Amino acid sequence: MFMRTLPLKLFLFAALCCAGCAHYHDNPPASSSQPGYRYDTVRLPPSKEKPFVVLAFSGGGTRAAAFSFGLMEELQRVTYTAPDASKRSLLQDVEIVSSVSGGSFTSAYYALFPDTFFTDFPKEVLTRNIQGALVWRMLNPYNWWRLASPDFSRIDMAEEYYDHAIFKGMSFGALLQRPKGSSPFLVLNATDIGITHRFEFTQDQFDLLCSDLSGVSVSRGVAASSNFPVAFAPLTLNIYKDGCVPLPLWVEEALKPGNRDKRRIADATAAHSYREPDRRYAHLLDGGLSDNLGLRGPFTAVTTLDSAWSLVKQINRERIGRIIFISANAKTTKKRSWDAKSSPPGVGAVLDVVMNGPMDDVSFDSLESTDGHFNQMKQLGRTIDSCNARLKQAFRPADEQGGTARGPEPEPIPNPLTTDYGFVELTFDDIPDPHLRRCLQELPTNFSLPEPTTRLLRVSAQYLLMNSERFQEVMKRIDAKWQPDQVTIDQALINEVCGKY
Amino acid sequence: MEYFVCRCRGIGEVFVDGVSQGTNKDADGKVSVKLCNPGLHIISLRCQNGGNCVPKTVEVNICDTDPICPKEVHFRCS
Repeated sequence: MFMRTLPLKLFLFAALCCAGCAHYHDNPPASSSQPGYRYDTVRLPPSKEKPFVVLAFSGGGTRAAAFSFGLMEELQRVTYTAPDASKRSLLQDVEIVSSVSGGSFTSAYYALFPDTFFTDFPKEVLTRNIQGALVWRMLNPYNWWRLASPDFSRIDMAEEYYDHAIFKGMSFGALLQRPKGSSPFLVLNATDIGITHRFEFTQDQFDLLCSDLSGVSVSRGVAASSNFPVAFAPLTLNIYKDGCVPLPLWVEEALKPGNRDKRRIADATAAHSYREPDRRYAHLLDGGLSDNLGLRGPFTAVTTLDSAWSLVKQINRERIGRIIFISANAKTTKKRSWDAKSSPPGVGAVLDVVMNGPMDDVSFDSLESTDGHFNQMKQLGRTIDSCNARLKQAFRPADEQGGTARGPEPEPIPNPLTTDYGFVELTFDDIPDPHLRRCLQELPTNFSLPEPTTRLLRVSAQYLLMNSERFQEVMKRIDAKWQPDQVTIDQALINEVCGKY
Repeated sequence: MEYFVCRCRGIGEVFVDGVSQGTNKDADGKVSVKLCNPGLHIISLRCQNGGNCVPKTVEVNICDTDPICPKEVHFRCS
């Protein structure tokens, strides 16, 4: 009897061992030997002569990945004449890419493989059936046992797949090995659900966890960033309590009584929480839960000195003359037919609203805040210039005015707001053709789209960039002779993807 | 956005919450207006001639300023 059931027993023993061994990839404790993945360690000091371009890629599965890829393709083609008469591509001026969920596949792939990005990304990611591959892994009995472990979940399995199939085992340490300035600073955004706060995969964030990001795979950052709730379990990171660097000084300042800025207090409280003795782990879900545009980090950087990669700091150092933010927003707008009937929508429809409604609201606020801030800065700068012009006029010498002299000309008011700001949002809402607009707005959020659909998304992003009045204005301020490319969207492609009218 | 200047007879490097913000004066020797977010900040000035600036640090609440009337933080270079 014993011998007859031995194979089964051995199988069960092996399977249990397997389950016991399955564990998520630990993020290592802090290391003093690594400078860490930070803006200052991967980028050269910015120059006032060049535009400082920040890209923000939204979530939205393969739809977002293809849309942001289309933007990158067009940026490579946008060339202008620099003040030194050299020809530059705007892609060369991209300093930072901040991304969420589907957009993180594009940003991470570009940061890791900038030389082969434009040839390889479509086949490596856009036309790959990522969703199907993940389902097959779930169906593999070997993984059932691993998934039985409390320390290994579906998101860890997804990370393994991304790491092996797409990101070739590259870690943030590998990004540090690249020549300085060879690829933009990558900011992958997730959400720390313990404190409901944005969590970015940068060494500055990992300093709070007393951990070394260099030993973490890029795929882990992408997995956390695209960790869609319910489909996957939260991704776990270890928080260490030894070898910690002190918290940034602003955290202590922000938590003192007398501060009125609630956002600053919330950010400081979040940063401080990682040092609380009972916080041993951080559990991460999709970045879209806290910011589905990837814009919140850049907004903090351009409005505060608290950000580890603050752009205000660079302005104070006179290293930035022109800031351009481009947001690739692959948001969809589903047409609801509920209100035509008296019966209320079903549970699925309600869940969809519960998930996406607040997300869309937050995104709208982020866009408005960024645009509003840029407009305010430009207006203030103009106000000082106008004041100086009026002062000069009022104190013209007597012979110019035909009257008596009014005393010596006053010193002009120094204008600290000489930075030029440009904000460009690419959204399906701006597609003029109603048929195509509706078609793009109705695209599903998944990781498996037909190849023609990804092509349509790419060319749509290119069309939107070239036809954006905001972008054209920005480019004319850089190079008065710049002209946009003519991008047309092939009607046959529209018909193939969206059906005929 | 808030605005401040570090007034000092000499030239020094301005630090806000421990992070360098460039020099307190421009190439023409005019005081540079610096930008920051509202709230409490620790400001210090590291003299370019190697001397110490006094006080070593100043904690200020910078709010309700504008670019024409920035908050003035005073230092002495020794």
